[in-house]
Amino acid sequence: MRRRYLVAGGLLALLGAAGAFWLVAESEHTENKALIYSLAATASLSFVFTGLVALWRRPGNRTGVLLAATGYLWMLGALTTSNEPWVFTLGWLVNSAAFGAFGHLILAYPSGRLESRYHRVLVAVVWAVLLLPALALLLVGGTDEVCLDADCPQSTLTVWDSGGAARVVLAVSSLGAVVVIALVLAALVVRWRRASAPLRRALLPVFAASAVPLILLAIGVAIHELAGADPRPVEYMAIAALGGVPLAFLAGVLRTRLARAGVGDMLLELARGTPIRDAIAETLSDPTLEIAYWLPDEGRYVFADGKPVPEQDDSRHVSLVEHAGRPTAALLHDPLLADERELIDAVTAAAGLWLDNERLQAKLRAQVEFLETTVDTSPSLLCSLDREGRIANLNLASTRASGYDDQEEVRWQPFWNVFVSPEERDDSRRRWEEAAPIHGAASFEHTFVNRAGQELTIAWSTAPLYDEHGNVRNVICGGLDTTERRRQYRQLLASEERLRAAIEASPVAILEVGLDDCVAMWNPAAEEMFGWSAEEVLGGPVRHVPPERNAELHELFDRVRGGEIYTGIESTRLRKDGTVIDVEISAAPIHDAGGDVVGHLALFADITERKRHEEELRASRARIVEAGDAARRQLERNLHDGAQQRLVALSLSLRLAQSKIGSDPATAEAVLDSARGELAAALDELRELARGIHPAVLTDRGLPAALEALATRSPIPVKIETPDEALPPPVESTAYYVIAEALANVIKYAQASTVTVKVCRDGDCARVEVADDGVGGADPGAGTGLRGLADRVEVLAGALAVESPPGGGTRIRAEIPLKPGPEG
Amino acid sequence: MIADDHPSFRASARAILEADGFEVVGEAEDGAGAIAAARRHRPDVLLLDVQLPDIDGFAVCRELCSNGARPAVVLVSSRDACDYGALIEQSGARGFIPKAELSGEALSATLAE
Repeated sequence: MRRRYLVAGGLLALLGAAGAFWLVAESEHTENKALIYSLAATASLSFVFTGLVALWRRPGNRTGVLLAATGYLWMLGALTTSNEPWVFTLGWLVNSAAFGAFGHLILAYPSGRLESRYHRVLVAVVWAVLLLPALALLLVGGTDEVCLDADCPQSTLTVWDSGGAARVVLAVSSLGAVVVIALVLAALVVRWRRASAPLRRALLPVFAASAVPLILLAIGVAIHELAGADPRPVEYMAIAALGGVPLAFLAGVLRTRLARAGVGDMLLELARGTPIRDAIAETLSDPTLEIAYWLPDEGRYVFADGKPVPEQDDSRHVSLVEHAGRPTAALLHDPLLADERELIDAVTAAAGLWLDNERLQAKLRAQVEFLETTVDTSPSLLCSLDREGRIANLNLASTRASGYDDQEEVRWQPFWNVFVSPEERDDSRRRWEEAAPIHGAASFEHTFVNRAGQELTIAWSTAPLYDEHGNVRNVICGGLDTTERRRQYRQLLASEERLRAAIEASPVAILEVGLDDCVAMWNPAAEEMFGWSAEEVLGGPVRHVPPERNAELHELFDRVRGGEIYTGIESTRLRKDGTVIDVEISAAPIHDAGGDVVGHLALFADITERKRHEEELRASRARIVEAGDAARRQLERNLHDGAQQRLVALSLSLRLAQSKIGSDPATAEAVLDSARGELAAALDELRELARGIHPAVLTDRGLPAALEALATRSPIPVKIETPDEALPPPVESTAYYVIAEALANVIKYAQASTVTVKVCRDGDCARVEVADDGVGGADPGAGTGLRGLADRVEVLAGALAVESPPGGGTRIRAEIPLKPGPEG
Repeated sequence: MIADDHPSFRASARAILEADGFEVVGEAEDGAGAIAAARRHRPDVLLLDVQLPDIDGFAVCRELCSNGARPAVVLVSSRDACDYGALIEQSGARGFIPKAELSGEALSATLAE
């Protein structure tokens, strides 16, 4: 409420008091003017001012209004002292209204509101009991019955002046007054009994102060009605007692101020370790007090046991505890304490400070615990060194790495005694001293043998910690155990090195191709095979693929990138000089750690030579078949032209002889004689043919005898050397044909005078040589004879060589392995 | 007339056929000679060997038949008729006699067919 209204209310009260003083002073029907005025003025003014003070202190509380109203109504009672009849009548009507306001006041205390239907009915009854008899008495002109002073003015409302009716009204009025006083007192007793401790403390002075004048008033009415005694002394005492009631209210108000001093005690209690709920409950005198705490993350309040605060609870009043504009907690307390706003504010402010402090401490504790846990569970080594390089603190990982069992054994040892090998400790200490006093951040890796005998490599990083003056207080050392990593790295290097050496030394061309189709590796064998150096091809596309092989290349790339490993793919590749070589390709994909293909290795074997051998072998076999065919043709021809013709002629001769034998025996005899010659010639030719197919002497008597037979038939003298030991049949056979063909050539072309034939064993080989002293100049590639011989020799994995310089004779040499070769 | 590259056969055949009453008007030792002699001597019958050094008997036979000079050609060979099959019929020859079976009788029988 604004202060000027309060000031106006005060001035109005003083004005009323002055008016009352004037009325009392002028009154012609008032006895004991000084006493009445002093009592009434004191009581009414004390009500008004107490009410105004209450309104000033608690603008929302209607207790002040009721207090002030009681005071103002009381002043209106002074109107009964007026000499004017209508003023007197009005004064009589409102004379008792102050008691109605008073009853309302005490029933509504301390909130100023009637809190139950019964109380509201009771207040209405009080008003009725006060106003209705007064009105009735005025209507029957009975004021003189109660006006004990002599010259009371007449009621201006009198309609039926009847002393009897007035006495009935008065009796009813007195009975009603006693009944309502009893009812109000009973209501006060009921409220008292139901009140909580802090409420009782608030109610006690007011109820006590109010009960006294009410009882006195009841006594006054009772003795007047029952004993006919003058009630005024008792009424004066009641009025005097009423005057003390506002003081009780004032005491209630002042009590809040005093209680605020209790907040200081509360903080002292908290500092002594009293739980905050107990300390606040003590300060507020509310043993039912509860504290709910604010959960910022969830945006709600919970009790200390985690239970949520009920949404609606009329039996509890909630006061919020805030600190620095943030909700901290809420106090759930007796609703009556809500009227003690200042006390609650003081308590919540103190609680806010304390709880925030506790919250910060808890946060700090949690942070410290978090850091401690982090440091101890860290796989990294963490040490704090003092300025002398001693280990002031270390974590579990550091203790383990030190090889000591107990952390305390390590503490206060110089860092270098624990983590540096003995021969390097002096260096380490000197570096420490050189780094002082700045101890700037540093990193180094160090290998040492710890107390438990393990060799460890630790990568250290150091950083200084400063005190408030900016001086280095500690140096923090963080270490990472890289022993295993270094070992693995060395192994990896070694295995890579082995692989690299294998690839470098490989006779197989090896190259790596990335997913971008570029060459990532090109080994020396590849340089050798394809002619491009590594510098020429690395990082670029493959250059050794003939254009017509591009489609095949990409199909192979797709296969290997799909994860397939393939071997033995035959293809052709280009050399730098433009020649094409036959290659056999194998390839395997290269996977990364995740299993994805990142490229592939391709291996090339040059199979050009092998291909050539295969081709030669095919040609040789074809020639052998051809030679066989030719030999058979020759044989058929020889048979047809030789023995067969002779046998045909023989047949005709015999037929002729047969026809002549009777008529001309001499002719027949001549024909038969010629026929015998034909037959002998046919037999000779057949023998010669058989020898050409396979010499019987070779089969029956061996190579030396067969060669002797050849020599016998040769027109040129032949010198023969043969081994003592027999050669394997295929070798003998081949040697025979080589010699026979060579001799035939000598006889046909060489114009030689002598021929030498040598056959000898030389280790695993048989050597055959036919040398003549003829004209030479034989060309091994020209005729089919020598070529056929070479094929025969090659079938047995042997080799034939011809030396035939013009004019220098011809020398044919054959080397035939005694054991069959892979192709034999 | 006899055309064969083997002199011994020509002598034997002449002796056999003359003994059986045939007159041998000429001899030839190769295909070209056979064609020239046939044109010169105009024989009634030409005894022609299939295998000749220059051109074979079938070609000689075809040449003679197409030229209108029409000796009766009888092919002879030391091989069997079945070695040549249809070639003998296609050549236009009158017949085939294996050499070993040659006689005046066999020649008359072949010409009579």
